[in-house]
Amino acid sequence: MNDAAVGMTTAGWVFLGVAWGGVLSFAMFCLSRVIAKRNSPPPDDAGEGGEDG
Amino acid sequence: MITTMETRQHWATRFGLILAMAGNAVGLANFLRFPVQAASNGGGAFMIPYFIALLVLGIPLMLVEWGLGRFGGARGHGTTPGMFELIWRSRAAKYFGLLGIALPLLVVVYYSYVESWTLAYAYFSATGAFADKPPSFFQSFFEEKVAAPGYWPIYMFFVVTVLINLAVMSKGISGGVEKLGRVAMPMLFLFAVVLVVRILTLGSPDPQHPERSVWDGMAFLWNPDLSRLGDMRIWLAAAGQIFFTLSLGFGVIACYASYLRKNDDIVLSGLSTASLNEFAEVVLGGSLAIPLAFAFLGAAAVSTIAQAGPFSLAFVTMPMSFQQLPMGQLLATMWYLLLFFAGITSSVALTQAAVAFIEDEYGWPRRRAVAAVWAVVFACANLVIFGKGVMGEIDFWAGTVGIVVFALIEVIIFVWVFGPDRAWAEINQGADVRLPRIAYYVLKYVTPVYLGVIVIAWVVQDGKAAALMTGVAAEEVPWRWAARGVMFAIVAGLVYLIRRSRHLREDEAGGKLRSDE
Repeated sequence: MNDAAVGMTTAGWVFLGVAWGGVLSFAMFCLSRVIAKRNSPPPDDAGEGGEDG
Repeated sequence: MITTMETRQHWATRFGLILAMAGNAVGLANFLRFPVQAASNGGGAFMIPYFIALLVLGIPLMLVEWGLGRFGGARGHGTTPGMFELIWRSRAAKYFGLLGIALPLLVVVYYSYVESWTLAYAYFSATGAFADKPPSFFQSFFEEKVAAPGYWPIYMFFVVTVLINLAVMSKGISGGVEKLGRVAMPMLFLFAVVLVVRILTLGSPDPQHPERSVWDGMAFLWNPDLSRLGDMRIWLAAAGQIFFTLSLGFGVIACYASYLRKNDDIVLSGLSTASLNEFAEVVLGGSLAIPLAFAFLGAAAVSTIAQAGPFSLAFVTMPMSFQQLPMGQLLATMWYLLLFFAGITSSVALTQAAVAFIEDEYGWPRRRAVAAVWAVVFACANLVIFGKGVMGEIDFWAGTVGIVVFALIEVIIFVWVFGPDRAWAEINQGADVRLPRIAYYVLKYVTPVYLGVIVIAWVVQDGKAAALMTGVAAEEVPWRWAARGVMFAIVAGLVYLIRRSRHLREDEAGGKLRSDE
């Protein structure tokens, strides 16, 4: 491969945008659901961590 | 005392669990292996097979391990010998399961050594030891002092790394492993985000080469070569990357999941773990090493470095590049601390299976079990440190072929032997997010077939050459045989321990599926 500058092509930006957008959306979806569950009443069998032997 | 559901340790919080699981997944592969794999396999086009592999291989396999783990843990077994025996009524079950202890134990033998390099480089960066060194220094320093034996400061960092792992693990699941995740993972993400912002705003930092830009490095990674999609190898490479990045097939996810309660959610927690891992890999990992290297070395050199492997990129190219930046010492320290946090959260996970086995099946107290396991790791690691080619030999058999084979075994046992309906019900029990029904069919048919194709392809491509040590330097051959001896000894030792375990023999004699009770 030679050293000539190539630069991001339109396709490159599309792939970057879709990949980053997909990953960030996935992460935000999961985070929002985890926070929502954290703020909802705990189930009856919730408790603190068990003993460490 | 043998652990039962009542005496078993548990995760204290869901966030702590997710961060610990993410710590297991996020490792050196996210920041070093992924960018090299993507750049070498079609650039942006690599993301097509990558995301397909994530959906039909990575996430289903991850949920299988979570399900297997919670199921086994609810019945007093935190490792796959016991878990398999609960499901598969065969004397062979627990021996297939021993791979879920042997494989991570073998991998951590060399992984902990590489982890100690990151700690050493963080120290050297922070103290300014690299500050006034010429660019040529880094190559010779790495090859002659770090990767070669005999340089005692590096050995001392390895000892310190082992002691840190010991200290963390001795405090248990919530007091040690979870706390490590809650501290190390946020710091890892913080450092990575700072570095990404710094690097992507560099432009063309070398005035002598204004044509070299970080965005040319991003182009190297992201401009797609769609013609490569017809090449089976990039599909295999993508599947392999998903394997390594999610730490599948080690049995570690199952071990960590065994510390859940039987109605704790695994779907949302598992998906959250995967999302954190993908953020670390695709967004952060893809925006660090390659773009920075490109900005200072240009396309031709980076292609050569990428082919030389991840260590060259991490321990030669990166410090050379940081040295030329304003506040480079701070940036380099952050980079190596980031790698160290990624490493230690993974090494703790890799040894947890062996510790859990001794605790669960022999009733040893935690501190004694941790000390015994790390004594074995430390002893075996000296073969890696002083030998030649040992790391490559273990990495191939345990860290590459072994994990794919074991993942296939896990899927067959949990989905086909246990039954797809039971497996589906187990995964969805307590779920905070509903999985789409199509996932059931992916789990039942697509994932096992995809895995089988990978196993066959790798055996055909690399198996014979690896078995016969074709192309291996003559001086490495005896060391690689010694590595095979160590692998055999660890497996044999585990066979012996499994045969002796009264807890496992009781479950075998019980002779029926525990979920029927």
